[in-house]
Amino acid sequence: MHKNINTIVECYSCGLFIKKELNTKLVQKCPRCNSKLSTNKKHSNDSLYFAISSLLLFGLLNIYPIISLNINNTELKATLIGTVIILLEQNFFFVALIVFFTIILAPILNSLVIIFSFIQAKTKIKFFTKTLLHDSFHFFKEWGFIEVFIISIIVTYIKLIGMVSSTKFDVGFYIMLVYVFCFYMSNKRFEGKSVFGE
Amino acid sequence: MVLISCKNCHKMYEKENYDDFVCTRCKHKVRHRIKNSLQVSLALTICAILLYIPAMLYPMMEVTKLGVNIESTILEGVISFLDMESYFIAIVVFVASVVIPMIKLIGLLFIFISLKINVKMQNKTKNLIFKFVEAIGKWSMIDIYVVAILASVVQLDEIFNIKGGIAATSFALMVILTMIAAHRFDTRIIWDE
Repeated sequence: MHKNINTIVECYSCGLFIKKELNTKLVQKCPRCNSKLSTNKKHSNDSLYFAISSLLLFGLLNIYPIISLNINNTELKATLIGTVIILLEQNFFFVALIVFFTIILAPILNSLVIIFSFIQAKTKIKFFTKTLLHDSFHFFKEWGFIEVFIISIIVTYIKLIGMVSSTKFDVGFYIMLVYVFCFYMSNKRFEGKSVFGE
Repeated sequence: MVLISCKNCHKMYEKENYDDFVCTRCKHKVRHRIKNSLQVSLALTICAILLYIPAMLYPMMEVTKLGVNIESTILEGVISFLDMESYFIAIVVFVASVVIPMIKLIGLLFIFISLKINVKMQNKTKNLIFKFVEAIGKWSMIDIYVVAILASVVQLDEIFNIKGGIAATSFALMVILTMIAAHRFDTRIIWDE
């Protein structure tokens, strides 16, 4: 049994222990609950490139407004950080904290964790423990809602265009679309378990 | 001998019994099942249900137009979209802010109750419901973000101004609590005898 323990995997949906199919690249499913089983894929370098691109794009999209409109020659603009600041100004501290964490902090830290994981794997520099990198990757991945924010921008645009016809998506929105793609790909290509290097 | 695996890093172990131990790879405590998972998740779900009530009853947004202040709840917001003939967005907001939270709360409560009361439903179906609840969790945040963006862009003092309403806090808290409840729940106990 000791020899074969690494070929067994637990289904975390139903608790069944299943023998892994080693000679297949297909996703294995649990025979009892039909949930997908975890795979042992290695993360690809693409993940690092996408994470770096994500960070650069994130910096850029904070410079430009996401939505802008014109009322009586007054230009009104919404930026990513502006949404958090206005909630703070209106005394919605808890909501501001959630919004700040889910659309700014978690996505940034998610990309940083991926970058640090690669740095630690490729060099002898050790910034953080492997456990911290592994846990924080999964935590920030779970609590980053940037894709929900994109849909919210579209909903806001449609709501505003009904009130003010000069409403338009600004440069920040288009940068954000590319950012979400890079962010998604960096997470897709990264395997949290590989941080442990086993 | 029993098999036990670390839920955090998925490392497998072969042990004498189901006693807790520390994972040699990720240093987390390895348990057979998450401790008090049902109790904690149920408590969080009940809190979320209580928060859903003020979230629906109180205004989500305050719009000031030429000095006239209009407060609107989530449902009134959906109706205003229907008035503007933005049917698609009305459906999106209605689904994200009313239907999804309700499905999440009822779904979670149903799974928790079904563990104590004999409900004629396959475990596979319960698992499917849970997976669905987990997947749709974050999409309820749409309304919170919409209010935040609107409030950020429309700031013209008394001429045209949008502010968040008091329902925003309870709604955001409700979404977060249901997500934590789903995350904290160990679905493996559905299958335990």
